[in-house]
Amino acid sequence: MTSLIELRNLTKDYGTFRALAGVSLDIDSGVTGLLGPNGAGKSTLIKVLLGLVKVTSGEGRVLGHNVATQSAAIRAKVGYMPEDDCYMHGLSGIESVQVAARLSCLPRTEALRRGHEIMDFCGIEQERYRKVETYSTGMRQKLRFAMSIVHDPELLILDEPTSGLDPEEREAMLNRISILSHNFGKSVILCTHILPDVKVVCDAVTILAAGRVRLSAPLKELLKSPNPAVNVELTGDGQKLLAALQSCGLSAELRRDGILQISGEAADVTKQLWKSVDGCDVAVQNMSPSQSSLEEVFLKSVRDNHDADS
Amino acid sequence: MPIHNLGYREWEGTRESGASRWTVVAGVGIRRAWQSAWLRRIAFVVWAPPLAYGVLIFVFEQVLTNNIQGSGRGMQALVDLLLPAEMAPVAQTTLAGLDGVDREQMLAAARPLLWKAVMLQLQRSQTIGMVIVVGLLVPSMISQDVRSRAFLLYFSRPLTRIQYICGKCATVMCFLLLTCTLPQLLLYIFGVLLSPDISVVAETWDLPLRTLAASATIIVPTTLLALTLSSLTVETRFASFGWFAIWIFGMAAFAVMRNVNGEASELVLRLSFLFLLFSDLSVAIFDVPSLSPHAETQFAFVVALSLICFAVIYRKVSAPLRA
Repeated sequence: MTSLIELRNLTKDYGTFRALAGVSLDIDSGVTGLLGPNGAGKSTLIKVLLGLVKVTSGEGRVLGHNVATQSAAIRAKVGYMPEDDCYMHGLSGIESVQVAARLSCLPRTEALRRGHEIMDFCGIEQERYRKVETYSTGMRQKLRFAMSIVHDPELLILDEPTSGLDPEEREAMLNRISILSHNFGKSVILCTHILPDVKVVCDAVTILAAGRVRLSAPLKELLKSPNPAVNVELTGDGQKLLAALQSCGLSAELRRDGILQISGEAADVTKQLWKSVDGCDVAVQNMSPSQSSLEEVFLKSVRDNHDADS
Repeated sequence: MPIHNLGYREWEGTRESGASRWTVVAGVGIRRAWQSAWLRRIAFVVWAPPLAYGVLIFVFEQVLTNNIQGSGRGMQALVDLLLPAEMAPVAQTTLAGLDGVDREQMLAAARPLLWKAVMLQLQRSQTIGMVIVVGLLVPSMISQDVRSRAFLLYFSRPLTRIQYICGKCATVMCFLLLTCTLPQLLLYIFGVLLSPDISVVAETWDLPLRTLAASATIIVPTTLLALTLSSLTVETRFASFGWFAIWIFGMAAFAVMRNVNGEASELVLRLSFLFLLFSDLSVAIFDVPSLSPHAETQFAFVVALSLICFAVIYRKVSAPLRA
């Protein structure tokens, strides 16, 4: 299957500063988190994908179109939500969305109808008739999201879509992204610093640092712990069980939060666990394979490569 | 949640041709500009001069067609009132020999001259209105898009730089046509309708075309110059200052240099003071022989100015994206 985005050895220089250094990347359909520290080259990469800046060398294709020569075709199929607080001065919310639709060549009346429909979807109600300058940060965020999806794009590039939103709105925004991806088959590139958001909605993650791709893999694989283990949540004193497991030759430890972590593959550990639980006066409440946290993966990836670079 | 909320739905309609995208940019500009109360007032006020000139044409035509026998000198006094100063010698030459000729001959000689004179004077007065309208309208047009970062919203769509610039130009031109060209065309129609003699059409049919050509010669460079200033800064007030400074300093240069004799200084004067430049070009387009011998140079200057301004705007509109 052809990837949605294929980049090969892409380099972008701003004068003497190299923003992207030989980026090679394949992004498939689904929701992909684009992560990276500040100055990693995420914004430049997005501009390259949209054909807004010319690459210094290398080549790339987005939805089958060449980024260097077919940028208009790409932008017709892509919805982009910028991170910056940008708006069209003097227009109301609904007018802004209508203009966005018209610029993507929707007919005038259809653009208005579609604008209202999308604003309903985005939870913008009567405020849609107010001037955009009077909107709060969160409202503008929702408006930019509405503008990015009004023309029903195949691919959505969302730059920090949840920044500036309260917890309730943040959840609603993530829910909308999930709906678009899972119910309507839209592919999404989610560029964010908020790692819990990535964990909630993303299928894959790409980490960028210092203009290079440090890591690109499905989220499930990334979260797999390098040393397989099982976390067991108990009620009652776990010391007896710990001793019983250790006497059976298993490596286990009781963490401060009361969770018993047993090293080994889940299938092997489970059998021995159920045998040992009997007679230890404890009940197993929950049992799950141990996972790495996304923060750990992110920091490790960025730091390891930083050390390698230096 | 509104009861009509249908959630997200895919859109499967037919898209329009991308060629009309510039009209969307123009529509946004016009909608935004029309929100300015001052601009609406000025757009209303600039319609006053055409009404006054319309009355003048009406009186002139009534005098001629009511068999009140005029004289060349009497006619010249009337034309002198209207004509730009540099046209006075031409009028003298044309009208001096009319004493004693019959009314029809006098009318055939004087009418085109007087109508052109009226149109030219109206054009001059409308130029002042144009400076104010452009000063109120244009400085914010690109600078505000940069300041509010609307650039990203425009150019993340399949919109080209040329379409964006065309949309902005169309906004300005729409207002200038409304406040400068349309009054002149309506004045012509008004004059024809109020003239008791239908032969006026045969004698002045070329005036609307000349008016359109003269308007285009003024509006295009003016629009591009003002948009250039707007694209050079994110501060609207700096662009406004630049716009009015060009006209005010041009007038100051005119006041200082008009007493300096010499071909070179005369040419510089007629190029640097835009009011004089546009006035000379209008005189040439209306085919009124005048004392200014620099029409070709002035026309070349206006073309060069327009091209340079366009190049600057083209370069500047995408600069924020490249950063």
